[in-house]
Amino acid sequence: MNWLPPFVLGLWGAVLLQAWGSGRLNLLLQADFHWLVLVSGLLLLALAGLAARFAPKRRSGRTPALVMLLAAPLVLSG
Amino acid sequence: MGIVLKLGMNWPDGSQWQTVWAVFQGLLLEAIPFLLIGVAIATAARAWDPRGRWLQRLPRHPLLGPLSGAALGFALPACECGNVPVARRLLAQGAPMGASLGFLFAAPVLNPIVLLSTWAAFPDRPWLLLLRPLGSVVIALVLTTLLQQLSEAALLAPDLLEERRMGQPLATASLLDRRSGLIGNQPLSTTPAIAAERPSMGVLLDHGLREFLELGSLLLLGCGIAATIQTLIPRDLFLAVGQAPTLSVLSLMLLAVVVSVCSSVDAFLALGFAAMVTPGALLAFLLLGPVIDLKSISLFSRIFRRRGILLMLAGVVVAVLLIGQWLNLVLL
Repeated sequence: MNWLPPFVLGLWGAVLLQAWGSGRLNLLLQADFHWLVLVSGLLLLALAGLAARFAPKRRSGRTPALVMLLAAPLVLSG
Repeated sequence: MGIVLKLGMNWPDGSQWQTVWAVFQGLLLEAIPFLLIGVAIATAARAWDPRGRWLQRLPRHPLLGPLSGAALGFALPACECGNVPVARRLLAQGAPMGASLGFLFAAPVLNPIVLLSTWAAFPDRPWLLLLRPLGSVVIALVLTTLLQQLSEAALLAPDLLEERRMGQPLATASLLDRRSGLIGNQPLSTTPAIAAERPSMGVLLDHGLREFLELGSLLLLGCGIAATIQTLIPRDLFLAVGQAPTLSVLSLMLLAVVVSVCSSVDAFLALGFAAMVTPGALLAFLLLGPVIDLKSISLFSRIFRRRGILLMLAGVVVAVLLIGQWLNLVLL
């Protein structure tokens, strides 16, 4: 399969985990939602791994993946 | 920029852009988990009922359809970001239009998380706990009736329409309607057609992943617009009209659209200014935000054509304004 979508999904998993681990969430989000960000980050990483392993080879719909790819490092940088 | 200057504000300086960036990140980090929940529910529905047989059995009655869709909110809790992929899946699997739209418009309020947070924020206002879900059902009924005046072809986004018709019997949608590629047309959708058998895990993952990325890229746009506008226009401006019956409702409706906060926390945000505004304005804020805001409006382009979005906007604004005005007449 096209490597880009699973890679971008994993990258966003890392973005959420970094936001949770760095304490940045304390400034951005109510405490009640922090666990959701953590669980979502872990889930996105797991899904990225599964998609890279099992999803069929197909090369279409790359634009959203590229947009998300470009945005992830920006959010990661804080 | 002209609008900004007319409102008596300056073009944002460095610190304001920092605020825009922080608000953008806050909105995005709050919305992504709910988007993921929504895509997960939609993917599970695709796995569980690939031909949509169960979903197609939802009531088609003009009143029972939207009500049954609204009631699904209790079973599939998702805020306004998460319910877009779920409602899109309902429509794609051939669920009745009324039930799907009822879910889309009412589920962001009619779910246990939102009702509990409303109760936690306003334990001293039992009328709000009653009128918020009730108002949400009324809005869902109004919007469903209004949007169903358009044909499916005029209302639904082209790729969703194609996917929906692939799941409908030929008596309802001909091969020409289906644009399946069988008779000369190229399929519009990049997503694979609904499988006759249960799709493999790989196909499900591929579909869910692409849906998450498509909606996520739209969410980025919505969060960017919402963060910029709510930083440029101070929140005090919306609250300045205070106790004016009509103006307070209108300005709180505008605030709900601009702040774009998730329906599971909007009651806590409203708690901060509840004492400064009329009851109708407070209810209008809690009713409009879950249906439409700057963050979620881009997501609707995955379901509706532009005409459908405009009709929905007009309908919800009028409905919420009337509900807010009615409450002010009763309580003030």
